Amino acid sequence: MRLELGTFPVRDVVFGSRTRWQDGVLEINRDALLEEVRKDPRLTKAALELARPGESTRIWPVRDAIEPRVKVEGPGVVYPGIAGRAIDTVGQGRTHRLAGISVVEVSEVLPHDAGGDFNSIFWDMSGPWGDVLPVSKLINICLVVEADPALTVLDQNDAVHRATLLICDRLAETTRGLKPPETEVFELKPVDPALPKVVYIPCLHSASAMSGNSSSGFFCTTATYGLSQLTSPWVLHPNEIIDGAITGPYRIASSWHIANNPILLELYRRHGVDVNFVGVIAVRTEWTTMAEKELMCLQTAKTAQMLGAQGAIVAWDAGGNEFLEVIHTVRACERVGIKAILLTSEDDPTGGAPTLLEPLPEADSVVSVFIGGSGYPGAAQGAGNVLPRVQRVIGSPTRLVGPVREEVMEVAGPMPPPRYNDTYGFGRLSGIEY
Amino acid sequence: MISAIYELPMTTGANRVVKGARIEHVCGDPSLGEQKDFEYGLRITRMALKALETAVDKPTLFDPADMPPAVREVVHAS
Repeated sequence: MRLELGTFPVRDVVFGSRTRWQDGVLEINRDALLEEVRKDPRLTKAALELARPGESTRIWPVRDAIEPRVKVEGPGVVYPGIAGRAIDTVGQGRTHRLAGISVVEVSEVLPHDAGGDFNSIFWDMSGPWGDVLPVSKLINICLVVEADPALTVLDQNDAVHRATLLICDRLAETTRGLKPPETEVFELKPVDPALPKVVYIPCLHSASAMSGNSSSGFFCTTATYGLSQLTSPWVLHPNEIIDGAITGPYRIASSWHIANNPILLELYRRHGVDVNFVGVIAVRTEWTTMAEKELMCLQTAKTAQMLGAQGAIVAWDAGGNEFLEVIHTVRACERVGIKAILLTSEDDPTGGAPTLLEPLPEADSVVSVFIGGSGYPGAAQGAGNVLPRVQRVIGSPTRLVGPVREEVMEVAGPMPPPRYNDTYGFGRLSGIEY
Repeated sequence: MISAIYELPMTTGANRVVKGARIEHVCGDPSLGEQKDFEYGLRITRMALKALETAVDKPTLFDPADMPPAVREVVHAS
């Protein structure tokens, strides 16, 4: 499986009379694009706004962010399966990407209707929260989009996400026929058999057991080829992920984060240098019995063995009981002789519970990516742990907070940061113990 | 403690842990139908009561499958 990834850097985005990429400037015909988006009668609002690095701007609620990519040669479409897109296996041929930007889905639509999962993510383009976020260094093209609340949550999700993908597709399409300024070839060629074989194991949360939406293809949480429900472990070629086979969002992990996953790209670039990257096993988490959880971990370790893996990097995207699958995967790998490294954020050692939920002697090598923020509005906040007021809000001016969402908070005002787990390894945070 | 993910309370030091059904329905299983759901729930609850009567010196796991099925008491009008 060979994939050429052509990069078109974007150093500026302007609204103008046509939509094109030229010499690093992306011009967008806003009215024409929005007219196309508004053809979907399910939408009640659609607006495009720009957020630039360094601005005193807060974006709320961020539901997903997507890097515009387009398949210009080879089978399938980028971001396959989601919101009705084709499901052909991706990862081959040539894909173009617009780098340095993202299209942000700014919407109040909830990810599913099971309750409990409220929108909680906002981005700042500057200040302490902006410093933490890798996406604050992008020019963010924000689609503020809402759907008719009389529709089902599933339909609302489909409508707003289709609209976001439509903008992405139209922008990326401008690069078709152009020669990319930079090209990188991704191919897992045979390498020196003496190099250690390494597998990457991202654990992907699924809300399907809780949402009761297990038979539906899509609702707006992390999806593999559009499937967000609990499924047994997926063996993926890393090229598929570069082509968007795993899409966001779940909390902080957006489609942009997943497609630009630094761990995956680093493993790839070191393939044949000091490791033999044998592939990706994506494990679904939040199964709801001990036996199911354990089964997924055992099957993951078995699959890793069949791939010949000697080492594994295990990472995750959502904690809580989902973390059991994460640590048990580490244990299951170690027990079949695969050295497993856990990439994890850390929790405050309060309450006396073990940081890893269970004592895990097998986890003898852990990479900490610390945490950002400290939770949610209403939680006890340190005096210094409140983000300053911003001049401009893109999206909704207020948000509901509190245990039953009974309090109204001004989004522009001082705001505690949401929790940020950098489990993709973008690496803008470190922790100091003292 | 009745828990579907019973390994967690076991390793965090709960004295008596009873295996529950699922995270979303710990004390029963609505997919079994009303009668069997009730019997399953009763079995879990009876095991929890038996656990309370049992002396333990370390975190101990109780499995409702080890509990004999209850005979549903018939209330006689007399």
